[in-house]
Amino acid sequence: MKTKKLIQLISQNLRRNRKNLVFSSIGIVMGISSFVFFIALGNGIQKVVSTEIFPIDANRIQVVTRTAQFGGLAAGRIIDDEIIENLEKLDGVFAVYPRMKLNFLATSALEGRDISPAAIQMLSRIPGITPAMVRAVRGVRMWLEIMGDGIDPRLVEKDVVAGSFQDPGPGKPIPVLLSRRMVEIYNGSFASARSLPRISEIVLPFLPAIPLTLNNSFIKRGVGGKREQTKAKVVGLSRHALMGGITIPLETARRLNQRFSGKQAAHTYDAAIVEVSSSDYLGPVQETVKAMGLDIDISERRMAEGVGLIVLLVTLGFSLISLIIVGIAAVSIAHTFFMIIFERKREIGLLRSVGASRADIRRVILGEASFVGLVGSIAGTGLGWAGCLIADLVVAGFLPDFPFKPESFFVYSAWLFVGAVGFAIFFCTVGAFFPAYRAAAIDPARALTGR
Amino acid sequence: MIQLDHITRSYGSGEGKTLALADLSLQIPSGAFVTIVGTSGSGKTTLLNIIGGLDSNYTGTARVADQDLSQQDDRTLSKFRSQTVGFVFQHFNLLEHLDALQNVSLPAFFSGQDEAQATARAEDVLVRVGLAHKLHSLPTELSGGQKQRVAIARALFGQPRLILADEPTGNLDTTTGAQIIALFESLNQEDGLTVIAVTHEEFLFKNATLKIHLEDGRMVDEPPA
Ligand SMILES: Nc1ncnc2c1ncn2[C@@H]1O[C@H](COP(=O)(O)OP(=O)(O)OP(=O)(O)O)[C@@H](O)[C@H]1O
Ligand SMILES: [Mg+2]
Repeated sequence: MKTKKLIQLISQNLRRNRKNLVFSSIGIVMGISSFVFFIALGNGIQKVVSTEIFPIDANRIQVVTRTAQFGGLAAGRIIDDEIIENLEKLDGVFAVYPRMKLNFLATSALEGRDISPAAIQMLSRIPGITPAMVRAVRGVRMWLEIMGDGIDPRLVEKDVVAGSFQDPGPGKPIPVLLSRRMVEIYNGSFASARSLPRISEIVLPFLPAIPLTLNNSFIKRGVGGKREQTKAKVVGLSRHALMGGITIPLETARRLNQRFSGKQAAHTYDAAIVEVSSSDYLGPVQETVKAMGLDIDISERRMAEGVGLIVLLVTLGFSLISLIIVGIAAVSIAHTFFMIIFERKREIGLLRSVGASRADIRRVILGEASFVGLVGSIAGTGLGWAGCLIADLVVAGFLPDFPFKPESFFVYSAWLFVGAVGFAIFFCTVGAFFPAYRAAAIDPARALTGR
Repeated sequence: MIQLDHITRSYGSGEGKTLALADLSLQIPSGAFVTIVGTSGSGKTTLLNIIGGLDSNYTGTARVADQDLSQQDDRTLSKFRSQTVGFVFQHFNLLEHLDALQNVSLPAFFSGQDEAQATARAEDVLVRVGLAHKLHSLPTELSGGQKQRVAIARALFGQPRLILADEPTGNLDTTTGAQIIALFESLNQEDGLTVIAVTHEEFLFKNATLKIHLEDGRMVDEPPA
């Protein structure tokens, strides 16, 4: 039997049993649509987790000094210039990005009324900034203790959007990166509750400089030495930036540490990110690092993996339920086909008498079923997709902002759609398998006499 | 053309076993016009189905048009049915959702002719059975005699050498039945087809060249008239 003829016959038959088939394929449509919905949702959440909440670089590890909890040995090696050099020389190491804490105290007194009229003017021109927000900004009185660290600018090249992230030298405003995670939390709950404008990369260039007082504390009395007034300019948001603090160029940190805490502070690091050229080197490098008396900080990775696993399990659970729905639908397809075959018994006998072989009959039934699966799953993926879009609209329109609220909760891939259609066709074909064999086994002589 | 040797066909087993054909042997020459008669349950339909390759659960050998049907697999038998024989039934067995032309070209789904060829052939045979004006009528729009003509056209579609008709006039009034039989006669005489018809209305088949009388699955000699 030629494929074209097969398709013709199948479509003729399907048209005849339209009602039955539409009814029994509702299950397929529902199952596939929820399958698409949940997988896309799982992928979407996984994406938020892995790119926003716990971004993980496969080829990077964070090297830290050994703390007491690791074996209770005497405090491990501190990370100094020599260690950094040694790390750089390790086999497979592509780059080492040292990270240095600011070893002195600093404060910032944010006073809205001190912002210059020109800066206020600029602020009010940003689209989305309402007069109420400008008023709120002018009313700000926030005195902060500032923590900070310095990181290698190479690590954050891509994050710098409003100026340059290099040591500007003494007396100049210091370029600062803010933690993306921190800003998310600020935008999601802090800002909206206080009618303050949200911070995003777009508004950064227009933000007024932040006053900084170095070597100063509002809390600790008797900070020795001279304090120094300077300004900080936010040049970007980065996931490498310090959570709950500011991150400045490594050389600036070194210079300021040298100035306020001495030489030692300017040449020790509290961590170094080691980037390997291929993940094959991760294991050996970790071993060597431990042998050097240092440790690997895997807390972020652990958390990411933990959350990722939970998301994965929940997604799998829901997709399993969806597939079970599809499976049950396949049973109903099987049932429908048994019925159809019973009704068409005589007709099958007739087809056999005009030359259809058993295999032909089988093919027609299986073809009908897989076509039902195809149409049902296309409708299902469409419905699932529509569900995703509606869910996004509802979340965007009716839920308040919350940290890490993504633009879309769903990530689709071509594979998802192909897989969904494939599953449905597979299940329907399996469902029609027994009916098809039953139909092929019908004794034409008997069927034709109506026995 | 047809040579049956020691054909035995039974249904069921044990107590409920029915012997539908019992060690039946017979020959039918090419071009014959045959009637099969006998009481109900005597094995007429069973015999027809074996000759037509629709039934292969029997012992003995059946040679039809130079093929030993008892030795063939399902594919070959299917091909045989589509190319060598044409079936005609008492209840017509037309598909209600297809018009006359589509019903007649039904075998083309399995024989692989392309659509244009199949339609042309279907038209030819419908003209041959006298239904040139009913090509696009649905079965529900046709009379009993017309339906049977469509069924005959369908049987002719594959250019068979043999027509097997099971009580083709059973659902028709006598006049219409006579017209259908006249059609068979003309197919036999003008087109050279071998026709084998099971009938309860033997009197209609005045020109039969051979009569097979079955009782309890065996051939019986006719009592002298
Ligand atoms: N599928 C079947 N299962 C069981 N018994 C059957 C089957 N088909 C036929 N028989 C039996 O085989 C015998 C012959 O049946 P067959 O249909 O050949 O008779 P027939 O001569 O065509 O009768 P009728 O004139 O009523 O059509 C009968 O006794 C019938 O009951
Ligand atoms: Mg019969």
